[in-house]
Amino acid sequence: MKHIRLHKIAKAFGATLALKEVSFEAHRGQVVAICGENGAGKSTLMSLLSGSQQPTLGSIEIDDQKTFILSPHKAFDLGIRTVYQELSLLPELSVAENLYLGEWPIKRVAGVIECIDWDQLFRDAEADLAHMGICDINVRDAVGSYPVALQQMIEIAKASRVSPEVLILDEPTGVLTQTESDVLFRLIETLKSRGTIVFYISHRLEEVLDIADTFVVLKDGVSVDTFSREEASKDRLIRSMVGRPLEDIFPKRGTAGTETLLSVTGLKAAPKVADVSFELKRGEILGFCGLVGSGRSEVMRAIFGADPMDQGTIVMDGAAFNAPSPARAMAAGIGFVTEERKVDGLVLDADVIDNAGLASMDLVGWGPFLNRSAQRDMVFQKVQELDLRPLNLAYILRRMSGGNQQKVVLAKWLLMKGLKVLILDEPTRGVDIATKVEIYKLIANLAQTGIGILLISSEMPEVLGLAHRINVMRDGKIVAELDPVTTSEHDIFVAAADVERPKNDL
Amino acid sequence: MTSKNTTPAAKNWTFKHMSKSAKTNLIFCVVLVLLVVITGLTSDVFLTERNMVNVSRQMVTTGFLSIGMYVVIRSGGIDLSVGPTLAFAGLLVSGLQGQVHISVAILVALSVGVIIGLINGILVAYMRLQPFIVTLAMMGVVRGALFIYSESPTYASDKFFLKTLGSGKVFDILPVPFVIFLVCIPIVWVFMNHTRAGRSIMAIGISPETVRLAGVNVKAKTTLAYVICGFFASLAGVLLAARLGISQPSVGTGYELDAIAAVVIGGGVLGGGGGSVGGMFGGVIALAVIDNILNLFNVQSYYQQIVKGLIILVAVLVRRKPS
Repeated sequence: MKHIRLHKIAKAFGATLALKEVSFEAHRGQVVAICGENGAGKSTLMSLLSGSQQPTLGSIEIDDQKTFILSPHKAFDLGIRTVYQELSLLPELSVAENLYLGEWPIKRVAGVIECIDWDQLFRDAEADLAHMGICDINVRDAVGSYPVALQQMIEIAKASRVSPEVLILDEPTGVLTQTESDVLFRLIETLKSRGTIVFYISHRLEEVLDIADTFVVLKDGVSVDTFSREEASKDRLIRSMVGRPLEDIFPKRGTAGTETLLSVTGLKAAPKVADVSFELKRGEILGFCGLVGSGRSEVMRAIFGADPMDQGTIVMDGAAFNAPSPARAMAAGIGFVTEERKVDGLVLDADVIDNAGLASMDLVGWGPFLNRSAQRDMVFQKVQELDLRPLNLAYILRRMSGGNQQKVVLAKWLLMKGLKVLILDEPTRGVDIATKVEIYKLIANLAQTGIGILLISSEMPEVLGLAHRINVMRDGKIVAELDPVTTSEHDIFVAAADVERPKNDL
Repeated sequence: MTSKNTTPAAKNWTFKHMSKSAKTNLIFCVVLVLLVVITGLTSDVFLTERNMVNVSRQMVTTGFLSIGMYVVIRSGGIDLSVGPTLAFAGLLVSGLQGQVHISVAILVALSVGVIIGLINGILVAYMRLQPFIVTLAMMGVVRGALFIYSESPTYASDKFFLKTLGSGKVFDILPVPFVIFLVCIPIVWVFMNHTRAGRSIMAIGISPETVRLAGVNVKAKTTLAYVICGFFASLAGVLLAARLGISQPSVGTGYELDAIAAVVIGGGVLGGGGGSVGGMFGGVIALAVIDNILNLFNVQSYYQQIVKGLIILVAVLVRRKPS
């Protein structure tokens, strides 16, 4: 495939226009970044390219030939592979089986019986992974035994195994650490050199600026801006995405209090948390950095009582509470925005009231009964404050964008009675940039009212921009306490990975 | 449910603006009414008082089982042991009625359902076993035990039990068990929609981990769902024993399927996340009316099973979510 050209593509779902007019072209060996806020039409555009939807108007031309990608099957035949945000691997099967799903090598036993040639399969899979620079995976293990980040790598490996003509990556680094992302970027380089066109969707602007050759910015279903690597800058990206310049993404840091709100001493929770002690002041934003698997989330889960803890003392506002359970942690005033909102943050098939009201039922209760209209009023007020769009309480969460879903999760904890400490684990993952800015402002404002914030994020600029102090974790321990004002991303990385890396590698 | 300063999304009560499930419910209602009207026109028996009273009487057993089943299904589980529980309660109440006061007999029978539900719930919630397997095993255990202990049918003779509870009528027309059923429907509706436990059970069926991290005791609430189911199963058993006057260990075989069918026809989703008390109620009525119509037209019971099976399939197909 030499090039692919999209000409005045529009896509309507009923009366709503998901895409109005999108035109751009991509050439062999290019990485094309598709940028835009949530709801700008990125996913729709990708579904057109991957054949799961057809454009209402306009045409897709491949090598100057008008092409109709009528089905995912057809896309597959054209050499178009897609890696979705949601993993499509079968966790019980081995890595090798997943890589070659549907194409398992066959050998004949006794001349007639067709069996899977396991040796061949494992050999091929091992060779493929080695070829792609993914080394710490045993192809015989079940996919489900690996952490999500590695599963994501396997998923990408599966799609790029045959050097596809077009590879579509939807938020591929969402769950990856810097090291893993680096492996991915090298993989993309290899594919590029073999002539693959890579469509790359990501919220991480820094990353996109690093690897893309061309940029397409979508806004309200229109490709408002296309430019090359030479013309690209973060400023231009943000300006075309949001439609206004974002002078300052992070709000001014307020001053933290001096009074200790939460103190954790000698916390141990096998297997991920070895020994963690820290103090959180009133109104302080305390950042937690570390690679995936360093135990950041597990510390928070233990404090909140989501997982059992083995040892340690947790003192909240002068009162110790040990052997915590979620209910006890909440009674002490702790709220917890978890890392995976779709798994344990939301009741996806329920509406806004049931979700946002889940942690505050005691506020609108009378004995065992719920005052549903009071609950509705309370929720409405909070989500209105958070600027939920659409402001419709009957909306089912599954159909909402990531940013709006996150607002509902935040509303749930902000409504909780007596909130004193809010734990935020990856609060802006999968959230569009405009909502990110709103969430940053919210975090800063909450801290100003005296609430203590424990902030985990894999996006280092986020922690650097918001936190008063940064704890860096490695192997279940806090290995460094850094001052964000004088710290660089590089410093955090060095502390987190315990390796010195040349600066130009970041 | 009116509130002063809330939702700007104005409710439009036209067909076009209804949600898909509301549309489906409405279509089901219309089909049911049409069915009743057409049958009423072609059969002189169908719309008679006597037949209608019969229908109402017959729907009660499935009705109570469906109430419990609805709660359990909303919690993300299933209860296959309601049939034997019903039989157990019936045998107990008829067996005890000569020896203790009838109210005590009834209480004992009802508590048996609660205990079976409690065991189911503990095994599912605290031991983390699969609901299907747990209640399947419970079904076998209870049914088998009933056959061992009760070789011959037990007859009830208590006057109050038979005359008032079994064949008594309110306002000279509505059978007492049917009235109890009608009273239970709004109670369960309030429980599911206006209590903390009910809303929690609803949410547990969709995402138990989310609910646990919101500080709710998920294990206790899940257990409660099975207890409720067991209670309604034993209530169904007591009232059935009162209506028939005879209790046998084999009673209620296959009833769990009717209850599941009623919930599913009403929009319930196995594994949690769908349905409503109103839908379940509609499902119970629909099944009872269709049964009755097929009987009136002397359709063989084997054909009846086929028709019922097809109706369940159609109901699920119509409610299928677009992928």
